[in-house]
Amino acid sequence: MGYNTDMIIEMLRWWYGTGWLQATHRVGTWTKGVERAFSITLLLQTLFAPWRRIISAPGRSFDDKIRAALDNFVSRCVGFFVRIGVLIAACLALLGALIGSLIIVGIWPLLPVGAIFFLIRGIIG
Amino acid sequence: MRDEIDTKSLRARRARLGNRIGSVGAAAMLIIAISLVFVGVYLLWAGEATRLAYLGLSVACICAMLYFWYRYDLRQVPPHLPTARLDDIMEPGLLADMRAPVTPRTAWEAAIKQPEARFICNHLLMDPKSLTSSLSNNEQDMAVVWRQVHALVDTSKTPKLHSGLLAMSIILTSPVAQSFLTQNKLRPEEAGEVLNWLERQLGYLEAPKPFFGGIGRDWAAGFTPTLEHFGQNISRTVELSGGAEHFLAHRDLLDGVASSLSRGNGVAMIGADGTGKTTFVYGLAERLLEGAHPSLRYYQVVSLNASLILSYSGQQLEKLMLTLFGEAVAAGNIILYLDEAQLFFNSGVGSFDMSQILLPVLKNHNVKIIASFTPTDWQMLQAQRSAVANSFATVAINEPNELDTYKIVEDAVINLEHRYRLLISYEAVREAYRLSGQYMQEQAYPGKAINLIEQAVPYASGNTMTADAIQMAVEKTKGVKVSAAAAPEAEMLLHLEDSIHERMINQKRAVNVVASALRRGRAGVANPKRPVGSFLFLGPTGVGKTELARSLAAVYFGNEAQMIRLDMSEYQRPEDVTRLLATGGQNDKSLLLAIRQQPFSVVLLDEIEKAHPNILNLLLQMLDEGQLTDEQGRPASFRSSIIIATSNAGAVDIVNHVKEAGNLDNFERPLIDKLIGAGQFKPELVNRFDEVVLFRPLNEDELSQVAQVMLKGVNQTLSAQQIQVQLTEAALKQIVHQGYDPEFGARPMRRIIQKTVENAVAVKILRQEAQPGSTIVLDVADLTPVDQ
Repeated sequence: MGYNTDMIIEMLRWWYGTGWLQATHRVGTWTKGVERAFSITLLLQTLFAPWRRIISAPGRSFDDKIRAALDNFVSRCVGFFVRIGVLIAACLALLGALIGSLIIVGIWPLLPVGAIFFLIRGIIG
Repeated sequence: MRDEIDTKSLRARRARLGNRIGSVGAAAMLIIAISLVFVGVYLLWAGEATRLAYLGLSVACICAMLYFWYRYDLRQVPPHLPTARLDDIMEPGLLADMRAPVTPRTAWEAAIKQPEARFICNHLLMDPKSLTSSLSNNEQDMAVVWRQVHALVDTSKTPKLHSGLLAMSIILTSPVAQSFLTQNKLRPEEAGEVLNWLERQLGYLEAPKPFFGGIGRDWAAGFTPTLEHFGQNISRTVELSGGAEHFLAHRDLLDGVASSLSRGNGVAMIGADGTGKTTFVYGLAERLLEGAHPSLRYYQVVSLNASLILSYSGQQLEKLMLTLFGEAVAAGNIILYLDEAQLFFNSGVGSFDMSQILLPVLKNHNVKIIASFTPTDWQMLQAQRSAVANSFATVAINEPNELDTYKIVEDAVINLEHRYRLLISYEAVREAYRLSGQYMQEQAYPGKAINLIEQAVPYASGNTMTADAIQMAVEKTKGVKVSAAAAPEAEMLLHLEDSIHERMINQKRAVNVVASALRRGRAGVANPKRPVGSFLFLGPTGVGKTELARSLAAVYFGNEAQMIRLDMSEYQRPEDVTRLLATGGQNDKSLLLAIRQQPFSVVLLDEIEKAHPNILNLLLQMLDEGQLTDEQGRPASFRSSIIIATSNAGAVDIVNHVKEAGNLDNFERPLIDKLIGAGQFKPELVNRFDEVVLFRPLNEDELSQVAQVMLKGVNQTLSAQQIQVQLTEAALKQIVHQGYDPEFGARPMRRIIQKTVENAVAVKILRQEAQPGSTIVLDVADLTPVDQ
């Protein structure tokens, strides 16, 4: 009996101490994980860069120069739209990670209370 | 920290609870929690069985709490700080299995349940259960074990008491385990090296996984379809493997190489085969993927496939190379790696001068290039294309020291164990290091030791590779004997003199010194960095000097063909040095070529006094270090061979001394001094031989025995026809008389036997006077040579 009581106390001590602290740290870990997976910083730095470096060298004539500028503009547009699409997805994932981790942080202290509450409701109906 | 553990401490109880829940239990709790939440919420929403729903939700909360507790706390049970007892830093799996009273036996039983302790036992080839019964069951005896644990924890980089460390402490303090180590020729500090090996692997496992960039990493870089086809993307390989888990020997050079590359300089890595040039490039690729160098962040290292590229020729090849360089420039994130770069500069059929393309590329700093060269190849490039060589910044990739080599080989062994599904013991690693050092001089560490282990895989017995497998691989691939002599061979070695004397008459001292040298070599007593034995045989012609070398090759080395014979009178000019050291296949007089083909042999240098002094100087190195270096700088080993040099110098003195004194006792030194004084031998050469052996002229009785040995040879040939030949006493005397020449000793004997005995037998067979099963007896009258 003493053993079980000690362990329950030990769990609750961890739950409202180190465990909760770790849960709050996970907010940062998860959001950082999403940022790295989507390489958000890199995408922002290269937002207007040509797509996969597909660029045309400008020729000597005016027509060639215009054509090259047009090609490069198209390449940059493609790059921009692909990156912006990924950035939007990254923002959604970031939001999801943030909300999810905050929910856990919020629910965390309520879980032991919830266990007792639901048990009492279950018994008394 | 106190030398004790409390098996009832809170940490120990948490560890036991975590052990009981386990990863399967935790996963089950998570599934139950999620299921109960869904079911409970549904029931509450439906308004059915609400009490049951609440009870289910309560259970779900408890399951979720237990899951999180296990996941983030019980699984690791972090060390208790500040540490007061050893259980505060004990690894939870081990702590969970510890039961009071803790004795060496119970501690060992707890330890060997854990993978770390099994790693130690497996790699020391120790059966963990066999040691259990020999260990003390007395609690007091743990004191010495805890002291050992303390000593090991203090030297460990990570202050953690895992089962491997506890097992090693028990091994190092148990007399039975100690005697096991001694039987396996392992010293305690070598056993300790297995613990270092384990801790390094644990370090790799615990290190955070490197991050190599997200999904948009390469979108700012160009496509490289031709490079994809003609190269191997090393960075992608590193990425897929999740980062290298091995020790990198030349880590300190990485920053310098990265800086050179970021400035646009080509980098030439210069190192012998096996020093780890390619591994270094893999290390560089990983470092760049980790973003350690901002200017080269996320650069991809692509190794060009030389054999595929060089299958093109002429203009096609030129066009291809321009395309490859062009793609690398356009992509903007490529570093090209030319492995064995000399291949690209070698002139051959259909080739073109690669330097014409490479030189402007290197000068303009357009493409980032790393090229690897062996020192010889680099010297050739400097001599032939100095402008290209000078365009590279050079980095020397030297052979790592012994400690680092062991680390690299041990880490490689873990990969080999996975690949070949076998256990490679520490003694195998140690033997691979030793034998590759001795017999694979054409390569460098650590590559040669790793190659030898791979070569030994087919010789592993069951799923375990021991030192025997390594020795067998060396014996099969190098043609040398390195394993301990088995019973029949040991018996033969002990009676080697008798076997040689079956073919060789008298010269007992010469036979004895050669046999003793061979016994020393095979018993592992001789210096492994010199030839097994080296002898200078002095004596008149036809007394058995060459015959002894031949007998030795036949009796011990298994075949007379296991003898490399060089007539040194053919090496009288200074330029003959090149011929002796040549490595080309067309030169059949190359000593190095011959010794590489059969390192386990007798090397006979006939008439050594006739060789040019430059050649004799070379032989000094061979006798001293047991190796010679070829024209390309690669060593060839003579450490498994017996070197025998013969000379007729002093023959007259020997004959005269025997006539006067009747024997050659104590005559070596005066004769040698006389020959040195006369300038026939240099003292530094004579002194480098293990022994100088004098051969005395044969007397009549011995010549008679020589004739009988030769007759035995004739009978062996005739045995296929079931015919034997015998000589009468008078016939034998005549042959001895005719077969002896004061100048050439017994050398004419073989010719005389051929002319007389063999001819007489041939005539009798053709006349059908000899039937199968019969014995031909030849008398003096039968022995008239046909040409007389």
